[in-house]
Amino acid sequence: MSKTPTKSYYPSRRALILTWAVLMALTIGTMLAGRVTTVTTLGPGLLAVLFLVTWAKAGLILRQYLNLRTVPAAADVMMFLIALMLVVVTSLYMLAR
Amino acid sequence: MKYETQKIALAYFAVAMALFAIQVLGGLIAGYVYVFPNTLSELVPFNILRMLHTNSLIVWLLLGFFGAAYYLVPEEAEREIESPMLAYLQLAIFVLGTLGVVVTYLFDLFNGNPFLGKDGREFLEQPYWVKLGIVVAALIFLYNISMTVLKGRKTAITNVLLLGLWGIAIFFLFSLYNPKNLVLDKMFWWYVVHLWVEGVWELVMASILAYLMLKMTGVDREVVEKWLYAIVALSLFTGLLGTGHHYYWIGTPAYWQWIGSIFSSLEILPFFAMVLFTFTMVWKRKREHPNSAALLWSLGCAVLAFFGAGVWGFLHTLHFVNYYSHGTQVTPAHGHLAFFGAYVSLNLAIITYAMPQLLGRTPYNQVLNMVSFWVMSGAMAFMTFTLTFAGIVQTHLQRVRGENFMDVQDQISIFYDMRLLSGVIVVIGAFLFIYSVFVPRSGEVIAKTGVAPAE
Amino acid sequence: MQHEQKEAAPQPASDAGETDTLAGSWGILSTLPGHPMMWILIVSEILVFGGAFIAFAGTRLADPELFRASQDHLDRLAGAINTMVLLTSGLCAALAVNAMAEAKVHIARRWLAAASALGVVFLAVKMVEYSTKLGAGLTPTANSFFTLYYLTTGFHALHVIAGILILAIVSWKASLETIEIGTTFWHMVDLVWVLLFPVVYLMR
Ligand code: HEM
Ligand SMILES: [Fe+2]
Repeated sequence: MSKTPTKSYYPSRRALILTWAVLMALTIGTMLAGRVTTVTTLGPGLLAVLFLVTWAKAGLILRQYLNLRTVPAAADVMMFLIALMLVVVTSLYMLAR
Repeated sequence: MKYETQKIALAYFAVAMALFAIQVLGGLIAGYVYVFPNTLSELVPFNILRMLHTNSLIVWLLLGFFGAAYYLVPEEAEREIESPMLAYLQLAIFVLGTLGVVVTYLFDLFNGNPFLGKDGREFLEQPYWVKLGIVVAALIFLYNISMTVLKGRKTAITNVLLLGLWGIAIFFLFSLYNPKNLVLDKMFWWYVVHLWVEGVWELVMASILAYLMLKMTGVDREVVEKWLYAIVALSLFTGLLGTGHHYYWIGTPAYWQWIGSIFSSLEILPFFAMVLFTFTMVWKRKREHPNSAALLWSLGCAVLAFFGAGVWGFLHTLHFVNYYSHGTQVTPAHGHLAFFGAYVSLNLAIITYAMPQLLGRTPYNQVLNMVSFWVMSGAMAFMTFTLTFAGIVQTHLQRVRGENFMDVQDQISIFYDMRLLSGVIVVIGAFLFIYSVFVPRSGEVIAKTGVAPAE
Repeated sequence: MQHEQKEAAPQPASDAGETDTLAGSWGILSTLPGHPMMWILIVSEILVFGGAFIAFAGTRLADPELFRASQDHLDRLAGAINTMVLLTSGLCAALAVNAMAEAKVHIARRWLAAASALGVVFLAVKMVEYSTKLGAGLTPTANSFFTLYYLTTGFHALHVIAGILILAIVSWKASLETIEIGTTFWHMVDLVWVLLFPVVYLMR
């Protein structure tokens, strides 16, 4: 393998636990923005929040859990793909409401 | 040629080319019938012509694959083919079966007989006894090739080739099963048809292309193998569940509409990867191979397959598009360019590459061969366009506006005229090709063992 | 053939094939964590699920009312809990790699087991969801919403099952490389759920 995995190649335990904590907090954000316990519809504002929170979570998983922070260009490509998909989905939702 | 038994390929390629000639002539006559409908209607009706056209295509493509395997496996495995005798026996069975098929079709022998008469299912019309013969021949082939590989050097190319060839045989077994229930019949029918051309044949294609790139560009084997693995993964990932694009309207549950649409849309990826692969390899080449015609066919194969299978396939693969286009001329537009681009070109590439060595000559009639590439490819592309236009107009008039089938046919007859014209040119191209690989240019220096200067 | 001097050096038959399976000489792909083939798979999976989500949003256009009414039958809280379960499971998987990098095989195996256990919890919650839906007659063919609901979540659940098997295998054949490859798959499953949950359960 061209890369030589040294200890610092992987995120530290601290960094991982911090990542997890932020992911949990963001999930609570998802629950709030998504109004999980209420039968209602979401306005464009909440949809946008959902979009951003989801994108941020995907970024943390990619960069920390999947360690793509070591290859920033690849992380950017993945983030772009996911943003593209979310943009299409969110716009389609906003189209019919 | 390093190994004596590579010569077996010559016999396979020769029979394949004979059937290629029959196939294009059959197609030409069928195209003529489209324009002058009553031609031969008593003697050889259209449905028989069409069967001869499609079946000879499949058989010669398979014979080409077998020939390619007999040609490249000794070099890859670094040993002679296990049993040349079995290889020729296998060919003999195929020739016998083919003759049986032609005679049965032409004279409609044993009509209705479940064992001797022709089967009613498209592409699988061969009488049952011929199907069994094909299975036996396939077993002989697999034994022969597998033993050669197992006892020799194993490479990614032979591994993938074997996987593909075993897959071809295994999926063909479904042709022996013909359930009474029409839905199940169709469902299993696609196991042969779709899982062949969009599954295991793609593996054969990728490995033969990899072999050709390895030989002609001199790029490191390691690099070629990585591409091969990536292509194979993409083919299987998309192609297997991509079968769903044939399960939209045959009575299978509705969720197939989404499975089929999503996975088959991604089937363009392996074909795109093959374009990237071949062009990257040529771009990074470490030598100039003298057989530039073979290189042209290889690159052409990747590109035309990308358009025919990838782009033209995607065109009508989403279920809400296919709802309108299903069973119109859009389908043959795609079918023709896909088969020609992917598998005809692939065979012509390996034949162009191997022939000079099999015949012990330097690459010859290069120019003529390359002319045949442009003639055939150009005419096939033109045919695809005419059929695509025919299909679009037909879809609109018949499916959207609801006009009567025969009325619509009258309105698109101009496209059939143009298709016939392009067919004539394809036949000319095919004969140019066959001439260029078999008949040496007069006055050419003929070397005994292919002493073409490397680099 | 004469054109072959370049690859004349014969490889020993025994090692050919084995060396192929490890990362290396993949060009730029070699720099990715885990095995390049896994990344080809991940991108393909993102495309498949992305396509399904777009199909979902697109089909909804035809009948937003049906989608809203059907979606209200989903257990959004269960989906949220499952998100947390998978994200925690992802932490365990990442910690397994971390332990393995310090050559602590036992600890790595323990983290992998924890990750799989949480995967099982996820599946259990999913099963409860499915059985209530099915019990209420909301089957995959009930309407276009449920067809897509079962397709996307079912396909994802199959990946969870596959992921548990993969984690078991890499825990058995433990090495830094295998564990990195196995957990890469697991995080992909995690990632897909994080995208799936808002699109299928929440947006309305
Ligand atoms: C080299 C590969 C391919 C070959 C040789 C090929 C050939 C064919 C042929 C001969 C048919 C007509 C089958 C029949 O008799 O009904 C067909 C149908 C079809 N193909 Fe392909 N194909 C290839 C790849 C693809 C790909 C990659 C796609 C999708 C992206 C695709 C999409 C379709 C669809 C949707 C139909 C059904 C058309 C209809 O009847 O509505 N094909 N193909
Ligand atoms: Fe297909």
